[in-house]
Amino acid sequence: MQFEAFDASYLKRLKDGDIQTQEHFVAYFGELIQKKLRSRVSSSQQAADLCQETFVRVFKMVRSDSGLRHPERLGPYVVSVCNHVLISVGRTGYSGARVSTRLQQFPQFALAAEFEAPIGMFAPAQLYAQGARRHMQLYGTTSRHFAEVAVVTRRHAILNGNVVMNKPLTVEEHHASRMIADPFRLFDCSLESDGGAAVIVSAADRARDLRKPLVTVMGVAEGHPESPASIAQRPDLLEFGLAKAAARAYPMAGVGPKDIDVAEIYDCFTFTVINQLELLGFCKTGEGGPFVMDGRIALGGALPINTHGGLLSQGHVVGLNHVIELTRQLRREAGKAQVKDAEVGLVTGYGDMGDGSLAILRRAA
Amino acid sequence: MSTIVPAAPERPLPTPTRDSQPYWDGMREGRFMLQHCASCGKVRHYPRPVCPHCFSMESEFKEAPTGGTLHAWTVCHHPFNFFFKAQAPYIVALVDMDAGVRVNAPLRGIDAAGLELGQKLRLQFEPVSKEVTLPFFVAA
Repeated sequence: MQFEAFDASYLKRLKDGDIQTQEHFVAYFGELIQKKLRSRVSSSQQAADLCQETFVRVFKMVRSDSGLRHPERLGPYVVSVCNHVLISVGRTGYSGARVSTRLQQFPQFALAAEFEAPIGMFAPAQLYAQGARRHMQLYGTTSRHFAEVAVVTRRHAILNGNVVMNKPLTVEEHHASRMIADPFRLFDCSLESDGGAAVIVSAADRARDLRKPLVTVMGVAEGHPESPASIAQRPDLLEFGLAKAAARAYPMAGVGPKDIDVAEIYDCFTFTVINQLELLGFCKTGEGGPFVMDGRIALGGALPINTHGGLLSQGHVVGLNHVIELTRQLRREAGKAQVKDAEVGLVTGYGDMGDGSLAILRRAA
Repeated sequence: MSTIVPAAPERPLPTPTRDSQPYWDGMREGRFMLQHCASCGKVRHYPRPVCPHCFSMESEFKEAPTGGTLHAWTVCHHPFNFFFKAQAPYIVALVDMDAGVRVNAPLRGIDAAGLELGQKLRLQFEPVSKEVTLPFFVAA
């Protein structure tokens, strides 16, 4: 490609919409941006989208009345457009549509609405309950194991303070809580909350200059279950998209389950935590129940989980609160719930009844 | 002064699609109709336009046997819908049908305490409106 000076006359031609200059500009920087993005996002489609978005922003800025503030820094400006990304979520799970009605409104659950709602299956609590029951029958998992997840999570929530559920919970209280969909009792189910959360993901070289300790994304992946539309139709009720995602994220991060110091696990139900610990390879299939016992998942244990109180006790902010908590843990800013010397952490996310994602983060030296 | 009597809550009913219409027609006739791929012959449920095995869009419905074994279950106590308030608690069984698909439907006439995986069950038909008949299970 022919080199051109990115000088005032080049910028003026760009601003005036000169086709040749514009094509040169897109070709020249497009290649740079694609190269840069390829190491940061997994799919080429996504890289192409981000590249396009970059040019939209740059052209908007170049052609605005004020123009570029530092025309001599056109190059650095273009390749820095996507250096900071804000990820935010807000939800009115309590004051807005509740979970039982929400599900029926999603087009991807049309089959569930046609075949499952008429026979009385509406809510995730009911749909996940069948898998939990199967796990109990196959492997001897008990409600006592579920209770352990609920009780430990509550204990962590109380340490956090910024939570919906701030009273201690005992195993007895869990067992006495009303049945929602057997085997799930009230305290096996996550909250329906109003709330919001946000994180900023920055390019590593930019983040290094910030005041906060650097927390790096080492590995990230998502996976989808077979028969995404209905849990009931999956060959294995207990195999979610997370299993596929974990197989990719660990090698990407260059770590294994043994290296994880703290894990924030998407806890829509207590059993879902047990299920995911198996899918993530922390224990073998069927051993998730005994695995969570004896303080192993509590602060001070071998694998502290949901140190902020999770969806079960802090609030249901679609799991972005888990990402925030893991970042705080690795920055060593988690207050009373701080896991000592936390270096590597894992966070999982869920969606649409079984899509699974995880990210493995590391505190930079 | 008149008293306003709230309407009785209605059961949520299926809206058949072009793909599922033969299944619901079969239910109404007391026949368990399943979608088979016209190209590779494999059975699938719930009815969908594309075969997940060979991606063919041609399919045909055939009557299938109504026996099966228990794969999983739940007992629904909290009614997430007003109609089911009067029915709770009710068992919903997930059944591996002998025909090779899985069906989710209420299980009647058995106590949940005695249920075991692999238990033999049979699908039956319950007309709930002029157009719609829903499946339910009983012990085989």
